[in-house]
Order: sequence, then C-alpha cells, then structure tokens
Amino acid sequence: MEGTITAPASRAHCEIGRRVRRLSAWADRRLFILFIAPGFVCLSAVIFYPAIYNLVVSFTDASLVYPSTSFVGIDNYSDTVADPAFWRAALITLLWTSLSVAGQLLVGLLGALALEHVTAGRAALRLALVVPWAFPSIVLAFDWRFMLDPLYGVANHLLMLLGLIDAPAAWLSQRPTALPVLVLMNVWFGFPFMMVSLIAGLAAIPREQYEAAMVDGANFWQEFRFITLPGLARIMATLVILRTIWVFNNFEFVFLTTGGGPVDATTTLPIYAFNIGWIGYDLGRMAAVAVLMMAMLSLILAIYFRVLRAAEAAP
Amino acid sequence: MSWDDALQAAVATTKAPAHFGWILKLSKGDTGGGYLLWMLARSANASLYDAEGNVTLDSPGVKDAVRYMVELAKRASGPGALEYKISDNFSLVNSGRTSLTEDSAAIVAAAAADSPAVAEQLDATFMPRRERVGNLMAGISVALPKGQNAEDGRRLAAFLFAEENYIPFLHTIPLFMFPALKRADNPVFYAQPTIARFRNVVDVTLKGLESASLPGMEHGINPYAAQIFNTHIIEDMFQRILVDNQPVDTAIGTAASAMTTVIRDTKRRLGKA
Repeated sequence: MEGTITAPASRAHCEIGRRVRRLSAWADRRLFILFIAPGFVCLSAVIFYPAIYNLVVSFTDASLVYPSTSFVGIDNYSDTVADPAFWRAALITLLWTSLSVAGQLLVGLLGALALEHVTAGRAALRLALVVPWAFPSIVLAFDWRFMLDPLYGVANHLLMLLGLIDAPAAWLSQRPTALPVLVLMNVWFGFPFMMVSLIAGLAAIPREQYEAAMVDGANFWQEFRFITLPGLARIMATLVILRTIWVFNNFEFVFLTTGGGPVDATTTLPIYAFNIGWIGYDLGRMAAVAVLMMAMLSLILAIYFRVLRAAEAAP
Repeated sequence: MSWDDALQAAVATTKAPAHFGWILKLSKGDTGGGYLLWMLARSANASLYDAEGNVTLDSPGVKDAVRYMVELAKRASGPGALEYKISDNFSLVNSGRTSLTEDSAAIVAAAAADSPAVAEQLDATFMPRRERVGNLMAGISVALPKGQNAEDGRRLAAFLFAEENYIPFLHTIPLFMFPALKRADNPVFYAQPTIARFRNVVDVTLKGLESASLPGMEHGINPYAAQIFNTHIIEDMFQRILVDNQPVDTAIGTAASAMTTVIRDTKRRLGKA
C-alpha cells in the first residue's frame, strides 16, 4: 500500500526536480540578460533614445520659437544638401579634423619618445606636459584668445620683438591664419592624451627586442621603424579613431575662439549645425545636419577600418 | 555731433597699433554690428525693414550707414574689430585702447569701478547724427508664461517696483539701470555718488531714451527683430566686406536676401504669409 503511494510521489518529486533543473538551466543561459539589462537601459536612455528622437525631428519643422511642429518629409535634408555652405563646412571639418589629429599624433609621439629618454624629473615633466589636457576648454580657448589678441596679445608682442612681424596681426579674424591657428591650438590641447597613451604603449614593447636590435647593430631610426612603430601601431590606430570622432564633433573650441569666422573660414559642421538650430531656431534642419554628420563620420571610420584591416592582413 | 565729426575724431585719435579712435564690435558671435548699423540707419531716417516686414537694407540711408561703418572700421578700428563682441567694450575702454564707443553709461559705470583714472577722462554725448539721432534702448522684460513660478514672478516684480525698493534696486548697478517710473526720477536717484559724478552721462542717456526704441522695433513690436539680429546677418555682411573685400552693394544684396528668408519663414510659421 505504502509502495503504491510512494511511487507516484517519488515520480512527482523527480518531475519537479527535472523542471527546476530545466528552469535553472534556462535561467542560467539567460543570466547575461540580467547583467546586461542595466547597461542596455542606460545606453538606450542616453544614446539610442536621443539618436532616434533626433532622426524623427529631422523630418519635421520643429523650432525653438514656434510650438507647433509638422512633418516635412525630406525637406530638411534636401535644403541642407543644396546649401553650398554645408559642403564648405564639411570640407573645413575634414581639414580641421585631419590636420588636428595628425598634428596631435605627431607631437604626442615625439613627446612620448623624448620622455622615454629623460631620466631625471620624468614624472614632473610628464605632469607638466599633461596640463593642457587637464583644463576645461573654455579656459584654454579664452587664454588663447587673449594671447592672440591684436591689442593686448603677448603673441604679437613677442613676434614683433623677434622682428617676425611689423605690426600686430588679428590671427583669428584673417582668412589665411584663422584655421591654421585653430589647428595649432587643438594640437597643443590634444597632444597630451596621445602622449600619455603612447608612453603606456612604449612600456609594453618587450625590452629584449631593443637589446637584440642593438646586438645586430641597428641604429635609432631602424629601431624606430622596425620595433617601436609596429609595437605602437595598434594603440595609435585606436587613438586616431577616438580623436577623429572627438575632433570631428568638437564644437566648443571653435565656437569660443572664432565662432566660425571670419565669414565662414572656420565654420565646421558642428558650428554650421549650431547656427541653424540655435541661432536660426530651426531644430528640424539642425537634426538633419546631425544625421548627415553621423553618416559622414561613419563613412570616414568605415574607410579607416578597412585600411587598417588591409594593413594588418599585409605580410 | 554729425557722422563726419565722429569719423574725424575717431581718425584723429587713432594711434596705431596701440590705440584706435572707435573700435567697432563686429564679431559674428554677437550683435554689435547689427545694433550699431540699426542706430546709424535710424539717424539717416532709414530702417532695416519696414512695418510690413519688407527688407529695406538696400535703401539709400542704410547703404550710407554701411559705408560709414566700413570707413570707420578701416580707418579707426584696428585689426581686432572683427573679433570683438559688445562685452569687450568694457576692457577696450578700461584699458584706454579706444577713444569713442557706443553704449556710454554702462561703460562709464564699469570704468568708474574698475579703472577710475580712465573714467575721469570719460563723458557721453548723443550718437552721431545725420538727419536725426538713432537711439537704441535695451529693455529687459520678464515673461511669465503659465507655470509654477508665475506667482513668485509677480511677487518679485511687485517687490522690485515697491516705493522703498525701486531706487535702491536701480542703485545696485549705478548707470546700468534708469528709472522707468516717474516717481523714481527724483533727487534720491541722482544723489548716488557715481550717478552724481557722471550726471551729464545720465542726462544724455535719459534724454536719448525719450526718442529711443528697441532695436528693430521702431515700427512697433514685431516678431522679426530678434531673429534678424540673432542670426548675425549684419555682422556676416561686414565681415564679407572687410575680410573678403566684397563690394558693399553685393554684400548688402546677400544680407538682404538672407534677411528676407528669415522674415518669410517667420511669417509662414505665424500664418501671415
């Protein structure tokens, strides 16, 4: 009698146990969702939602001034693409980005290599060279404006003392000098990040490689060409990608120094977008410009990644 | 003082490269060029646009004002005119770099506080005139749309305009704020030391206010002025003339076209097209 009662109970227990195990296995396989969920929610809130909202707004005539908004199809895109100022701004943005990133990388690399050979006061020197990176860009932009001011600026004073110029120049309001000066400022501002990262990269290159090269009689340039540069290639690629994204989208440095002028000589795409949205109050078109900027940046990075992959695949 | 008098004074006191007669503020990051052009155009009995919102930037009066400002910029403003904003007026005057400037009372007040030796040399007169004086008034208003703070806003306004508070409030930044109420136009207001010291500046300012209007509002309140000035179409026009050597007529044509677009869009959005 007991047996007849126990057997089904035991089967039921086994069945429950199997179900619990299946459930926990199912839960185990999906546990990653639990860990990913908070990050995904945060990303959705700060990236996906604004990006999708921006895309939606780009098809409307949303304005900072007028409360009503209506759907305008692709008008904002066609108006933007038809505007010669947009293409000028795109060209200036490419120049500004490529020259700034190249300059930052070059100066950062030189700084990192130089610091490698410094033995005394290395930490203090490294700290001093990182100073530009440590200050808010508004402070740096105004510092540069004052230094370059045609009336008060120390830059003109020194250049006149050295006999390099006859009279004070308005560096930021002349077409030939405005963009180069901005690039110079940006190189100065951005090179410490490159330098610190490359110093870390240099430390990761095995010393044995240099010792072997020395035994083989390699000179500095051969060491640099065949050991240092390949050793830093990956970190340099990452740095260039990161800085390209940051500089391409940089707004405050240009805005606080030249505001995009003289005329349109330093009007980059972020300044162009700002002028349309916050000065012209046309949020819909500003959103369209932002979408086009994202497409351009994606294209640039896609080309860059393709070149990188090709370089890595090469023997 | 006529346009020519002002130009002569500006040119005569220019001692480049350290000192200039009248440093204009033509940065595209501010409305300095637009406001000064509006004042000079008004003094030539002209407007940037008429009461219906038709752009009149190419009218003879405005064109003359543009040419006058270009001459000032070339002969008496120095190389920094395209970089300076209205707020730079304070440092330009306090450092003694410019002889003439617009916006006198506030400038004198700042100089009195920060650079007393310079302030002792300063005085004010009416803006240069051609047919008349074009006086610009900057009015600060508080809009209180429906919301949680409307009642607080009303209480703040009532507090500021209360008899016992109004003149002390105007005195918090002397020469920046002038009586909007008749009862504040009394000896207590004028007894404040800075106001008493620069009484002529105050008198000229108050006299000017009698015929002043907000920029772009000479035909009455309209929705175009803020957008016209904030889009920096005027400053862009001056930069094209001074940086790119664009002919004045061409630059005015480009600016007029941009201005027409702004006004047309505004009308369309307001259902006035």
